[in-house]
Amino acid sequence: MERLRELRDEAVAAFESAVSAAALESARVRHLGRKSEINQVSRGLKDLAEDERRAVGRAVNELKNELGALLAAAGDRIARAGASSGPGLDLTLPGRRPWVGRKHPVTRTFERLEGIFRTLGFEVALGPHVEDEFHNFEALNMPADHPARDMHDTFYIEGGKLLRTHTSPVQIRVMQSRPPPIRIIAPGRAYRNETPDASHASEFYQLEGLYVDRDVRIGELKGVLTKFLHELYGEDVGIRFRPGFFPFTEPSVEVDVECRICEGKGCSVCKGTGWVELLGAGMVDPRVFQAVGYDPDEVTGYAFGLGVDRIHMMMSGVDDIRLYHENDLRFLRQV
Amino acid sequence: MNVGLKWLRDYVDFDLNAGELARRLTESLTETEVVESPSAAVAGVVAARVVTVEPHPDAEKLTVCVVDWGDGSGPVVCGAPNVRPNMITALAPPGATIAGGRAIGEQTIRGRRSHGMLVSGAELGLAGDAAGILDLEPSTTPGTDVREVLGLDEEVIDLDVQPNRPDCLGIIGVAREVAVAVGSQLRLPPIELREEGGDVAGMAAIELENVTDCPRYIARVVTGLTVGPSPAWLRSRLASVGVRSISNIVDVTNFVMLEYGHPIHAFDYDTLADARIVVRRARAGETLVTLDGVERKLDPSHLLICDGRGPIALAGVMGGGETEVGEGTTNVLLECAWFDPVVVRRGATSLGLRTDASHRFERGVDPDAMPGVAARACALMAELGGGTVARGSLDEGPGRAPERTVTLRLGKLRSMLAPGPPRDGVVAKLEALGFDVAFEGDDGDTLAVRVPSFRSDVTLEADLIEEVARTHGYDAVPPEVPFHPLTASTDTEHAGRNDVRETMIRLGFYEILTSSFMARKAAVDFAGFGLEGEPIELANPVNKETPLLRTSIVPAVLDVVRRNVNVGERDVRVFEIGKAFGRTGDGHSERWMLAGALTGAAERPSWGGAARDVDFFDGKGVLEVLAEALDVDSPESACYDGPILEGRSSARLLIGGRSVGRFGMLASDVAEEWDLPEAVFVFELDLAELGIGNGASRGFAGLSRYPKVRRDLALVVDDGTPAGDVTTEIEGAGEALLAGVEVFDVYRGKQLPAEKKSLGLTLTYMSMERTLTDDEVDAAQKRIVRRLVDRFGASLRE
Ligand SMILES: [Zn+2]
Repeated sequence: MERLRELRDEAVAAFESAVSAAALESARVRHLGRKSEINQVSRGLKDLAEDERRAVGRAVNELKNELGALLAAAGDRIARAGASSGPGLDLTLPGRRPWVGRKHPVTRTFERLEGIFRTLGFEVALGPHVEDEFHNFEALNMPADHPARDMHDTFYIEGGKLLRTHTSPVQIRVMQSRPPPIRIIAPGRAYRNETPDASHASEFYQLEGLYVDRDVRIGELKGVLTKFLHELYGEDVGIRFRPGFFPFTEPSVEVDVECRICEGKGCSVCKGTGWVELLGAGMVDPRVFQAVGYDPDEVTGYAFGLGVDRIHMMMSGVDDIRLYHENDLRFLRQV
Repeated sequence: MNVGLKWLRDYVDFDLNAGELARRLTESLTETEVVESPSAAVAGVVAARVVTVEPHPDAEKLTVCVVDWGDGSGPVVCGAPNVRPNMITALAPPGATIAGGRAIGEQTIRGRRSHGMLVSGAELGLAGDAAGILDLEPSTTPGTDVREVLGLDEEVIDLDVQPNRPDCLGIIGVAREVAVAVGSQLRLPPIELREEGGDVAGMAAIELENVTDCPRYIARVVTGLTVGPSPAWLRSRLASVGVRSISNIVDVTNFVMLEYGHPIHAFDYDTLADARIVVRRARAGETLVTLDGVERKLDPSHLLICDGRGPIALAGVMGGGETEVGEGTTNVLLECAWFDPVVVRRGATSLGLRTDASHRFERGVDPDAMPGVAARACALMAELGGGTVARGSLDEGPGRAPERTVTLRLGKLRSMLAPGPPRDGVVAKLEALGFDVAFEGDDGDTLAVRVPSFRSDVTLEADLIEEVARTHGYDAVPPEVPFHPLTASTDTEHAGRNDVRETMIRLGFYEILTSSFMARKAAVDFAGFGLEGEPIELANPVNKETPLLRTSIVPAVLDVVRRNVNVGERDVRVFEIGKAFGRTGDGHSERWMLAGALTGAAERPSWGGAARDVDFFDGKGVLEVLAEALDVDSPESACYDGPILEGRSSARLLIGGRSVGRFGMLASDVAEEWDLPEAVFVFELDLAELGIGNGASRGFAGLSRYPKVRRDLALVVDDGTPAGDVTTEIEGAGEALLAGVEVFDVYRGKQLPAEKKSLGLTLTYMSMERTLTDDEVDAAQKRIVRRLVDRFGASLRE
């Protein structure tokens, strides 16, 4: 009788813990099947003395009835929990998924860059997309008829206004609005009147940086951009600073990183040079300080700018900038 | 700017191959690449003499020539119009390879055997002429490999010369930079001018209408020239940088321009009326046929070179056809001038005629180099064309390079380049670049640097610092670990927009970024959306279909929906956070908007049965959750009866009575016209009006330790009674224990009288102080019901 109680407890535990029809069936075979211990007890009744046979027989029958009811209940429970379409639980069926969204790759790149520059002490500043000649060109030392404007095919609108051709006018607006020190980044969209192709878009994304203080050194510019590129690509990425030209910085530099595709060996992406141009930068031209009313003898500073969509292209291997503008969900899900 | 290495070695010695030199110049001057030559594949092509030329018996346009290629001769069939006996040309015999890797074999053309083919410059990968076969110098020995004859083996680099360095648009300027980079010496070309002709003063006259437009004009005359092909050395120099050889005289002008970076022009002296050169602005209505054969209509913005009759050239841009040097030219007037960069730039731009000359004049030429440039060109012409140079030059205009001395404080230099090169290193680099350096003051720390005439870009101390920095090498500047005290300031609206974006992503929307430009039709159709006011027009749209700045993002969002549905997407949930633009009075405004759309299934498709399509309340729910996540203060919906949206399922969003945006189901006729699915929910909100990022918080009211009690209510009201009015009434009933009210059911139908509906409401009660008793909750519920009966004539549904 003691053993019957143990058998009961084992069977109850097995039925209650079964989570699938298959598991319940194997529990039934083990605890109530022909070869089960309970069945063996029943079959051994005939060998017992009459009194004992009657008492044990009743206990076994009660136990079988109880366990039968529990088995049925467990079966119902599993059926309820399982798929309406089939017996038991089909774990291969997908769960009921909520909708899930995703940021545009350009936004995610902006966030990554902003995050890095925030840790370096830069704050975000923004400016209008519709700009004027002064902020977009003149204050940046690009007077009318300057050949440097060749690189800035401009969209004009009524009243002599234009769509900003770069995020650099934000530099001017920030400097006009407050005294140094200034330490900002300016993310945003810019516009150039170019016929779009795989590598040019008439609307594109830039991130501008500006630091103005006393006695700022080129070494600090190198340091901050090196730190930025290490955060972005890892400490072992090769970085090259070389001469460049921007009307609003003097000296001007271009910053290349080692090609990620060929690891510097030379390939079609880097035109065999092993380097890919990533940033334009330089020390703020004294004429820019004059234009915003700063004293160029008192302050110095550096500025830098980079193409955000291009950075994403380089990191992801996307080879056509137009894909960023088409908003095909198959693209947005992948990149 | 392409530079052949052999040519470059005429002016500077260096022991580097093209790749190494390109890297050095990239590090010290500007991005430089090695040019892959289109002639790289050319092999086995040799110089050959055409012995006889007979017409092909069976083909009108072909000839059969006998050609001598040095160690043999044979027949070659040729189709070129310029083939003639005794000319030296190029033969690609069987086994040779021409540009593009094409292999040549023995062939039979119209029944006549041809030992390979005679080739044009284009077939060897040279710039330009594909019409005729190459016309090589008569002294070329047949059998010589054309790679040697034409200098095809020359390595070429391409410098991305920046607008501030016009001096490097000449090979001498590049050679100067190479000399500095490798520590060698610049060698200027010798000018051996023998002026053996008559006095130029008696041969021509120059008038400058305006010395601002043309500050200096030098003319020289060379007589007795024979125009003919250029010698091999000149052809190969030009060919190496992709310039087609035309004739000895024209080639000299191109050669000297490429050498010095100063464009010059040769006129046929005998075609100049009155032997007079007048530099003046064009008069309205004047025309000129330029060298390219196009008749140009001129106006007073254009600067002209005229003779005694009228216009003969567009100053600094292109010469005219009538005075062009041609085969019969014997006397030449050579122009070497300085034209105002802005005038040249405007003229070239307005005619859409950007040339090698205008490119250089726009960036500025060196006025002090002009006498040397003119002399060099005339010396070469006399040498190659067998002419005589007239004595003296005509030199009009006061234009000379300004004397400029810029102070360089070594202290400033060191503070910027820290530590910076030693003083001697600074001085050596500047002198090698052509600057004259003197010391100022007693401390030896201040330099007076005289700027050479070819470096008009250097005007400030910062420019000199750049010269030192780049030639010294940016690698030598140690990067400093940036340490800046952190700034706390953050643009709160920028942060607020990030919150909006995060919420929309969590609600299952994909972020899209669409164009700021909009079509006219969209502006008209969607006038009710986005910003009020007229759209802003672009003066020069890149795409004529989209000439406006968008007043609303919705049309672009719908384009994205359509694009995706067309490629087989069914469920599209997209949004954009971006700017919309509009006119306001005299000015304009640009505002951050949130726009989006959802279409397809209301729930993500699963195996439990097909989900229904999205409807108005799916969309409204998204906006409500957005408002909740952003802590927007009590948003309200009001009737919207504009176009585009379905009248019975559209609304305006109000906050504090101000309209913040519009949302609803797209009207079916619009959906059809725009080729969109039937059920599309669209929305657009003005993010500034929404009050995001204002930092407001609801504040913390504490947590109750006691359980909530729920009571359901089925209320029958007139069909026209808005559910919102009922819930507002309940919330405003002043019941202190009431914690909230939710609508869980709306029923109309058989079990109710017509014009009635039943609202199923759940009221929640809670106390901060105690567990509520049934009695007090029942009492509160009764008071509320009584109020609703009074206010709305409501009854409880049995
Ligand atoms: Zn590569």
